[in-house]
Amino acid sequence: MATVEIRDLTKIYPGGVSAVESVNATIGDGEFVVLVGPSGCGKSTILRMIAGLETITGGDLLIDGARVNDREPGERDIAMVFQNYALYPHMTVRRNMEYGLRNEGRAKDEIARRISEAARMLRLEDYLDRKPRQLSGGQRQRVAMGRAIVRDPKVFLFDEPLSNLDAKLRTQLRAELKALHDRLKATFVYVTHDQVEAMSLADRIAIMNAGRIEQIGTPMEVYQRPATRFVADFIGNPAMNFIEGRLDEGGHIKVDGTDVAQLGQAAPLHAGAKVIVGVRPEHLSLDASDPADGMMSLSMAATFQEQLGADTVIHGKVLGTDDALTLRLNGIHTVTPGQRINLGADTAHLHFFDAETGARLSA
Amino acid sequence: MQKRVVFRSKSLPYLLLAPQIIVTVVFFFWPAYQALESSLFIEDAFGFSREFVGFDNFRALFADDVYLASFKVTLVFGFSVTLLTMGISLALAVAADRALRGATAYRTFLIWPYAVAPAIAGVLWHFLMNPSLGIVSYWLDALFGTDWNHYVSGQQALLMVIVAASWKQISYNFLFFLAGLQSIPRSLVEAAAIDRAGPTRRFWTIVFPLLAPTTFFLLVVNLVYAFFDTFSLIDATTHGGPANATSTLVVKVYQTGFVGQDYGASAAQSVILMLIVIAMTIVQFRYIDRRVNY
Ligand SMILES: Nc1ncnc2c1ncn2[C@@H]1O[C@H](COP(=O)(O)OP(=O)(O)OP(=O)(O)O)[C@@H](O)[C@H]1O
Ligand SMILES: [Mg+2]
Repeated sequence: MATVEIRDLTKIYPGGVSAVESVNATIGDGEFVVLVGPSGCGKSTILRMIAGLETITGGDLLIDGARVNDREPGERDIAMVFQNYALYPHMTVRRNMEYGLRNEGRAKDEIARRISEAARMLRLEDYLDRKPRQLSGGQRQRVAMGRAIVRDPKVFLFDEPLSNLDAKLRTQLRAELKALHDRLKATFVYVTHDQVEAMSLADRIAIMNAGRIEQIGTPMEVYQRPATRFVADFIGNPAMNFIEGRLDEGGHIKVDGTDVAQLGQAAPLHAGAKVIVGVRPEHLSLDASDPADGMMSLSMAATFQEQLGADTVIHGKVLGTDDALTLRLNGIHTVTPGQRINLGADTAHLHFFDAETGARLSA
Repeated sequence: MQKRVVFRSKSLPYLLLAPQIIVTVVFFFWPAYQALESSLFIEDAFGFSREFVGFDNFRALFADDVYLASFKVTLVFGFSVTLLTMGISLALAVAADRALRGATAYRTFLIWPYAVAPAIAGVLWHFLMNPSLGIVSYWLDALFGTDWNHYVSGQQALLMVIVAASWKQISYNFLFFLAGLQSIPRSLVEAAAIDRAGPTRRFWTIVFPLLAPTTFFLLVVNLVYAFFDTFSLIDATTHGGPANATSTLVVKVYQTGFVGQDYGASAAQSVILMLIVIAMTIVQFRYIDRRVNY
């Protein structure tokens, strides 16, 4: 059990690649924090710096309040699960799990007890004498977790542990991982590029972009109040729609001449500035021919639909423009290409972003 | 999908194979047959007459102390060369792997000794260690007060050919070890580091076992090299002397046959060498599956 604190953490790789730029975060005791972001944004780099596998170029890393920048990986009391599992191929499952404990010089009976406990928890009892190559991907992943669990570390680090598995197994192991966290009540730092995984696992999500954290918050916070246009775009599937609007003298945001919202006085923009209006596909509804108060109306030209069974996702363009628009409806719907659809959205569900900086405008 | 080449003419495949078959027959099977045959005869030095003697040549060999001594020399030489060259190459490969992942310049330099012809390598070390002119023998004298003279001391002569033969083989071993090291996933070593294994322990418990296939392969290659492929090196440096101290089995074949003109005995020795090669090949093939121990 431990807290992890990173202060102004920076990583510049030899050769000058700046992978992480001045990142700050505090991870509480027993918290499950997921780092999510597109490929190459620096997630693994942060995780590897916490693990001690990469040197820290700048800033501080504190585990349980102690600065550990210069400690060897083995002295940080962490355990890590790798994407490719990194099981020792020449050792049996049991040996793999024992390895760390033996290195710590633990007593034999204690090792045996911990192994059998972890094996039971992960349903690996029948595989203890097999070599890793005799296991399926899901079993290997469980062994990798077992190897971490037996060490009883302060912090668990995961680098895309499920991304080599098929979708069904991934969902299953996701649930197991969540249960494991509830049971161990340990601090988890988990890296993924899959936002669904992030949403379903995390106590808090940190969304990264180009070496920086754009926002840290609970899954609902980042969904309901994305701090930047990038976060809004990244979280949610299908992704949020963005429509261009303009600010007028009175602080009203207009889309296509229609008033859609009133910005507070604090608006940092001058009249005539471009504003991005965001609305999630699931917050658009049909039939707003008679726009009631508090509704933004919008027309789309449909191009095609994806019928997912429970839902239908309709793709198209904002009528008369080239801006893509996606709409998610419950149940089964059919559209013909070019069909005009009138839509409405509750203005309470609209998000406004500065077109220049991408920062959130509304309160 | 597998692409299959189909020959329309029946004779074309044989025609294509012919050069290789001819080379094999002329340079391997024919001499091997001749050696087998001559090992059963005693021939006079001028080649005018010969007499069938059955296994007498072999019996005589195993009663000959000089021949038996050369077995011992071969074993000492072979295992020393193998250990020395593999030890040094592995150390170099580990250092190179750690220092410059991917850098090739260093690697290229380390290949050079392999390109040196064996006889030249021998002569090179011969000069370096020449008792009156050689720089190494001068250093040995200056640093340790060793009186180096491999013309007189059998042990020193053996040591010299061991060093020369090992030196020549280091680059080859180094390349294989380096390739082996680089094929070990980085994450395994990282996982071990997180599992509290220090660098030495990581090496012996993770890296070295995973190198086992490479190590076994090189073990066989080096033994074969030391046993059979060092003739020109030894011949150019010590001629097998002094007093047969560096006379390995291959050197002995040459000395008995071409210097001593005893063709029957020489042929019998070749046959014994052939049997050793066959045995080693069988061992290698038998264990080739087990080489991969994980
Ligand atoms: N060893 C390295 N040397 C130089 N640059 C590196 C090194 N490792 C990573 N980088 C660079 O640092 C940046 C961040 O890489 P990182 O591996 O942290 O990304 P990531 O967010 O984990 O991406 P992914 O989702 O693809 O795993 C990338 O631009 C990458 O090219
Ligand atoms: Mg990564």
